[in-house]
Amino acid sequence: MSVNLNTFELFILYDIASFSFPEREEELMSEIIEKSTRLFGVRRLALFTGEGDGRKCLGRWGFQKESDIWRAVEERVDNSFLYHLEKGKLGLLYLEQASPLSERDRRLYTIFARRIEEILRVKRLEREQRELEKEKSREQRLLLDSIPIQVWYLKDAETYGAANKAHAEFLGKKKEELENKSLFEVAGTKEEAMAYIEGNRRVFEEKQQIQTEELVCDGRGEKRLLSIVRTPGFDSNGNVEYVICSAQDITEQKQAEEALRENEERFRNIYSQSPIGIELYDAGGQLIDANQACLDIFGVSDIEEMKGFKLFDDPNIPDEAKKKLLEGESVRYEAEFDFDIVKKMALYKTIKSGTCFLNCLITPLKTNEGARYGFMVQVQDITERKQVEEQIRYLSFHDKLTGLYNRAYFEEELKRLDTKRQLPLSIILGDVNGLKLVNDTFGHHEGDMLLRRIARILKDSCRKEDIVARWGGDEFAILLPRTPKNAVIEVCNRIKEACKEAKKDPIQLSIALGAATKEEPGQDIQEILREAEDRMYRHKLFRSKSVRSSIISSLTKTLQEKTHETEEHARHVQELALQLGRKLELSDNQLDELALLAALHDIGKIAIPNSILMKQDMLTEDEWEIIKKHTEIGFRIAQSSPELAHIADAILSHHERWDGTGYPRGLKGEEIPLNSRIIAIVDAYDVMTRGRIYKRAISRQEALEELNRCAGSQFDPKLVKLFTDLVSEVNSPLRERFFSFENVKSFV
Amino acid sequence: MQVGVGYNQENNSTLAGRLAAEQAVKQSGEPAITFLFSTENYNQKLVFQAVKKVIGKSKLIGACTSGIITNAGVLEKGVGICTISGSEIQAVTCLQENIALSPWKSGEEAGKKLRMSGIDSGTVFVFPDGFAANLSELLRGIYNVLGPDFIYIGGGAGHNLKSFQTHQFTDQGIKSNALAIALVKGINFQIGIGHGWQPAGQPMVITKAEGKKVYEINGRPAFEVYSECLGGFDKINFPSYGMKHPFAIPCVGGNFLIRDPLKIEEDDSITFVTEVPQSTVVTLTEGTFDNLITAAGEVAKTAVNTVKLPKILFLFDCVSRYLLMGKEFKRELKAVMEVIGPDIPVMGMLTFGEVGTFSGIPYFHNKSIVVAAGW
Repeated sequence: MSVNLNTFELFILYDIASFSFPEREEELMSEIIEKSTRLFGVRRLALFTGEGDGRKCLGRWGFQKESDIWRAVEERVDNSFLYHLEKGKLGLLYLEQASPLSERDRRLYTIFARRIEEILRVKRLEREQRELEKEKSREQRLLLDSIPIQVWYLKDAETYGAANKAHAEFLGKKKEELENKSLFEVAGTKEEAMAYIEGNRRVFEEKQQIQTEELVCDGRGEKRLLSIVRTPGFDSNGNVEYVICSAQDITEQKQAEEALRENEERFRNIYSQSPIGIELYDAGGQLIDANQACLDIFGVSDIEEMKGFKLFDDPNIPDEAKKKLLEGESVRYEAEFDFDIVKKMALYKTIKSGTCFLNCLITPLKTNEGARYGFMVQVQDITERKQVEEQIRYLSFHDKLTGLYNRAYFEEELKRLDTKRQLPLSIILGDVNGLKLVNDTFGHHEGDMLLRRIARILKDSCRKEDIVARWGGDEFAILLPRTPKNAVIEVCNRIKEACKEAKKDPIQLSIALGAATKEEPGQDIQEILREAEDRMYRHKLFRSKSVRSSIISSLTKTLQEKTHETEEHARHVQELALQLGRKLELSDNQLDELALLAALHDIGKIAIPNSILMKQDMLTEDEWEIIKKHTEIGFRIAQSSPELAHIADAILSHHERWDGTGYPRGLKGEEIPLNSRIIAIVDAYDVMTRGRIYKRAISRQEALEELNRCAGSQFDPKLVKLFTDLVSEVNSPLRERFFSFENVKSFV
Repeated sequence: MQVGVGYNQENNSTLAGRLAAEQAVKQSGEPAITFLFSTENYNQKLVFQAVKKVIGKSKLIGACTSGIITNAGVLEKGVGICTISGSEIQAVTCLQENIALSPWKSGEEAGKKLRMSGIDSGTVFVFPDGFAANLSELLRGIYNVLGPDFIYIGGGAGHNLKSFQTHQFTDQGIKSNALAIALVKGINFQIGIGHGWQPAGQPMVITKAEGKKVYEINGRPAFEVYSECLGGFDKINFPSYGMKHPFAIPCVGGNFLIRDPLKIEEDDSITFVTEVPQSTVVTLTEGTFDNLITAAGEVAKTAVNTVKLPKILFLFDCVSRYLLMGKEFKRELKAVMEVIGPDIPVMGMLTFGEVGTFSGIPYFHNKSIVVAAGW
């Protein structure tokens, strides 16, 4: 059953050479025991690794305890073999067989021991390498765990290999909870897992690095935006073996970018939509950009047409401003901008011409360190504002109604011109006559027209350098520098002439004037002013009555012309009224009043439009209301003249009715003034018997029957009885007292 | 020392056990140690209980087998008992369970239990479950505790390959997947072990193996190389080739341990009866019946070359040799019997692997014969 020892030795050597390199020390020891016992009949063995204090027993066989080994080593019987592996640095091998060792045994044991030595050396290198790699791996792990970037690797599209601390913490887990785990186990929901896996699959399929931005739920359930880079690792066949992933949480970054973008957009909108023109220049003053408002101001259709324009080439910027800019100061100025100069100098293409007013603010732009990197120009077209300012300035010194200077300006000029050089300095003050009457009669619009006509006359009558002002209300003032007394009188005469010759619409223009002249520097100009004022008032007072009567006569005549009422009718009414008055045994004063009333009771009709007054068809309700106003207008006209004031009430009441259904106050019975009752009857009688354009005349009898019919309702029944009796008498003296309108004039 | 040997082939398990035991005890007297071998076609529990009743307080060790070897030959059915008595005899037994889990550790634990008896020399009888994993490890574990001061004899408990459970006995009970082990002092044993298989062909290296399974030889699939070495054959013919051409692993003293290939797997790996260590050099073997029988005779001669006349002969012969040789197996037994003579009682069994020592170290053998002569 045995073979030749030499051949068998070959078997042993072959077996020794076939030693495997097991991973684990236990497996190595097991193999050493198996081979040594089988090949050599070793009955006891022990293997120590390491040296000195680091020496440890890797394994033993056949020994009860370690101390037995050391005893055996010390005793070193001749059936034992002791080998110092790598001269003891690697360890110690003890082998013991049943019989004493032969040379062959030693040789074979030595070969065996050296094989073990080689294995241990390799294992030591492996261990050192592993330690190194472990340390490196530990360092790498520490490094990976210390960085805020999330790093993990995938074994396949669905399975984690391992992850760093940052990634684990992001998911609210520990690193160990991710190792070798399926994404389905780690992700919060199946959908989240599938989303990850989709991205992973792409890398495995496309075999190239892929970068994505993905919304991922963190450990708190909050969605975060991650920038994920997936990098494949390949095996020797070129297939993707694993994928290394890294991710950064860019949620805040994106939000900041978005905020910045929004901010930029906001500022850009503000810039582009700003109504203020904004230009940006570089440090050298070369134009970089301009917003639409700026282009509109300068009449430029496209920014390209302004490219190349230099700030300091603009002739419209004052030199002083340019100097300050270069010195680093901001400048603000308002100036007239001339487009024609721009065109002439071909600075840029503009569609505008002429001038405009601009308000400019030019600011040098500086860094935090103070270095200038450009200029910003803010420009506004203030042409309209300037015009408005001019208008305000104009209005502040002019009377809006007449266009003349106002009192404030006059007084300023008075102070200014009150100098020796301007002597003799004359003042004319004027007061318009009849303004109140016109306002009351025709309304304020007619009154304003009156003032404008007077103002025109005053302006036309003076020189350019004279200050013609509306003093207030119906008063005017004229300041005439270097104008002696005689020249002033001529001016006054010119004004009066002009008023006389002016059209009577609605009344004759009339103004009371008073003038005074400062001839000596020592004279007080206020005194001169008062002097002129006194003269004006005296003139007014002196002429007031005649002016008033002139106005009223003028009104009456106009009324006659307007209503076609004849003087004859007026006279008849007057006569009939007086007859009745005598019948009533009125006094002379009462009769005079009655006569005046007869002449002027319808004076208020002067203010009624012709279209209503002369209308032949039936009046509408509104038209009737307007007609009825003539009693009140007549009342006001009478009240405006002291000479007529005593008949004002009667004028007001001449359309009242006995039964109280008249107008304007609805007076009843004897509340109505007697004269009003008389006029009502006689006027009605004369109209009926004389006829109107729109109505034929009736007979005396018919008229009297009508009067009687209306007695007690429209008319005073007693007065109707008296009048009826009066008219019925033959040869009644109707011509005893006759008041013509000329008489009215002298009476007033 | 008195030895008693008994065997019985009654069908009734209890009867067979009782009668065999009584027969043995009648010869030996109250035994100190009893060896029980029972073929697998009995109710082992009933046999065990019956024997125990007869042997009283005697330590017992044994196993089931596919055949009992007696002076008369191999009994494929029967109960074989060997009782040994003597005041000088000390015995301790241990029934170590679940040896497949951690064979080395199980061996150490069994060894420790035996050591606790205080017996410091003697013979260790080892009867493990022959189908349990890594019996070589088990032996090394036992040896690691007990050391070189003992002789190791034994065999793996087996069956006729028709059932899947073997049994091991000690006085503590009856188990499967266990190790029945006994330490006996007071009896001297001389051992012979051999097989007769001759190395043939070039040496090869087991480049990948795990336990009883060899995956690769010389870096190639195991079956591919095995078949190639034998001129090429199909897997279906493996059983006849495997029976005749086991592997040999070099062992101390120019000897070879035989490793018996059992079956071919789907992945072309070969499962052996006993473990084949990875990185081991192997050769194929061949053997004629004559070689085997001659080897058996030599083994017997070695065993009985004792100082004194042996009083008992234990014979553990591999069941594969029995199955291989068939009727010719009688010649092997005859070769052994001719050496030992008619006067020495023989008790043994067909084993599933054999335990015997080379240079004092216990090895687990295949396709071998172990003869132990005791006095």
